Amino acid sequence: MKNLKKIAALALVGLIALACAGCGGNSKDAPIKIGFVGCISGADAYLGQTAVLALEDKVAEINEAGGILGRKVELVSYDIGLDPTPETINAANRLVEQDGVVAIIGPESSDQAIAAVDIMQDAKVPMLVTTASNETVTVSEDGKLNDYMFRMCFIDAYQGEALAMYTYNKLGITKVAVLGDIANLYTQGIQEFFIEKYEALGGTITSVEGFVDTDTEFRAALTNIKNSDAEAILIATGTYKIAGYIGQQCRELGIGLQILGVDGWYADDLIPFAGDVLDGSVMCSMMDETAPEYTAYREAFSAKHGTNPNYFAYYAVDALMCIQWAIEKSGEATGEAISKALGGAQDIPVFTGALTIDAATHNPVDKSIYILEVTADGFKTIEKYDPKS
Amino acid sequence: MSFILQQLITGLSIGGIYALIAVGYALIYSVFDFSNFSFGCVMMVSGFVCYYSMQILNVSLAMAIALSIAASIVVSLLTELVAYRPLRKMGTDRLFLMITGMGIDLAVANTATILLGANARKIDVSELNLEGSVALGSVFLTKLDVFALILAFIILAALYVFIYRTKSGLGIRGSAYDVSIAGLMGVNVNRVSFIIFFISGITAGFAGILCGMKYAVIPTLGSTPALKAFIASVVGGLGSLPGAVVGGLILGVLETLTSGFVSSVYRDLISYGVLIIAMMFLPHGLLGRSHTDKL
Repeated sequence: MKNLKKIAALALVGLIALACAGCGGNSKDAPIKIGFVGCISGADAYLGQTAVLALEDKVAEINEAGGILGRKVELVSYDIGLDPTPETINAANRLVEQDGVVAIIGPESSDQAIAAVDIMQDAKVPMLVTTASNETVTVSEDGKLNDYMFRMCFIDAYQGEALAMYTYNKLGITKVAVLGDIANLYTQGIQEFFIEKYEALGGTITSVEGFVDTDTEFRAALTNIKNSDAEAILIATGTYKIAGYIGQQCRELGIGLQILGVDGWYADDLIPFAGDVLDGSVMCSMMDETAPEYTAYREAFSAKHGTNPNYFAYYAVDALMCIQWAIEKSGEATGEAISKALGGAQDIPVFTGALTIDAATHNPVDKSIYILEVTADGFKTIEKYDPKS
Repeated sequence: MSFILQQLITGLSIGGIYALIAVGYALIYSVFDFSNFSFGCVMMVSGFVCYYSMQILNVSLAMAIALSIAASIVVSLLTELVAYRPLRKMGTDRLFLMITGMGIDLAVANTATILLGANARKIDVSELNLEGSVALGSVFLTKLDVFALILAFIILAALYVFIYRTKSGLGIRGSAYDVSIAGLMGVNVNRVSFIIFFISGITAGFAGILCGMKYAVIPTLGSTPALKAFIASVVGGLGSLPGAVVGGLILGVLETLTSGFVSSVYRDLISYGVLIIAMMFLPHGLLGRSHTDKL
């Protein structure tokens, strides 16, 4: 029996040693491992489902062209859909400690990205978030730069202020009521910057109402807004379902105010669900998914996967191209080298154009903002808006 | 005035749905002294069956509702026959029964998410002319709300008659008094459990259909209403049928009035804060009485 125990212990040590040998992700011939963390299942599966497909396609394309620095690329994906924040922490730990990735792409939301900051900083592995737009993802509240955190999208302040300027200057609306998710960093950020800018421009906020993302009933708040003399309602929500519920209930209460939306609404599923009741709403977006420059890609993607890619997929590919660029530029596939190369990088050629990263904040510089209109048939781009003009 | 009226109507329509689910909690608690936390999944199954029977089987809305109710009865009975009854036979502590209910609820909702996706689906109610609203001056009555409220009251009235005017109802009331003694007195306790899970399947099923019609059919359709209905049944008095109805209506109206007159941002904080304080003075709930006089 004693011998059996000894043999078992030796076998275990041997196995661990073998596993550790397998972890050696940085040896010359081993593939370069890149992680992906996103919602692939669960209530918000639409966020990550096409992103992971787009990344797999792009990795295959890179490998067919000879890989990066002559090494193959391997994508390691983890689904965080069923319980996003704790799963992000688990996935980030696994990716850096067990899988030995050189960088992580994702997650999509600020709450989750912020939960991963300390892990990435300690492990010195960069995380390139796709759509997490809260400022504190890359710069902590005390103003310190999180040097291993980067993002592909614009920040909430940028969107909130741009929407305020568009509403006041272009739509000529002077009184707005705000209805926002009170438990979401992303919507609270946009809402805060919208209100600040809108009031600075001379507009009036007639009422600020709130909800949480499990709510389905908004009529009490909408009745307040109806009585508040507002000309428009800003609906700050990160999910299209809530935008749909609110649109439906506005109609039921006979509220015909202009509805303003944020990029969290931007999902194809909104149209069959609530395109009719939100018809005429105006919203911001990080991009126009259906712009002509993406047509060929969308058609090929749709033919291969049977579904259209969304902007989460576009930004995931952007992040992968940034990592590829940084490894090639530094000649080294390590987290530290990638981070160093990306901070302050100019005109990185990515899928959605050229990306310049601000060295002080790790935010993209001068991103375009699109103003879209919701119609019963789909999203229609009104204009590409430059808040500085 | 119209503002108050609008908020009251909204509150009552929400409360009607809470009440429908809450009576299920009351019925089961009254007999077995535990809260069945799997109503969320019964509601979800009901909503999905309604949606898919219209989409795939092309049946009428009325037929889809009938199929949904049948499905929710089956799910409710299955939870009793497969999960709760064997556990009770083993003499399990009731806390484990509640955890089992939560487990069933989460497992079914997650399975639905994986198999059917989390996209929001709309039940088409145009067939019964339930779309839109009717304007009475500046007050808007949503047709679905009126339908929901009337339906809820018809079901609750039918339930009242069943419990207080029929022999089976007497059996349930007897079991609620003391299930062991009722068994000794010749009441078939298994039959009683079958009936109460049958009834609570119907009430949760209707609540699921109404939520699916008013909002959307999603895997988490029942999660929040079922939780709030549990709170309503506690407020009304655990195990009390009229208490569950009153608790549901109070909760719906309190939430709406807090949003309307105080702040929607602090809605849950204030409305549930008020309830906690109320419970300090009424520890058995509004209509809850001693152990001997439930239902």
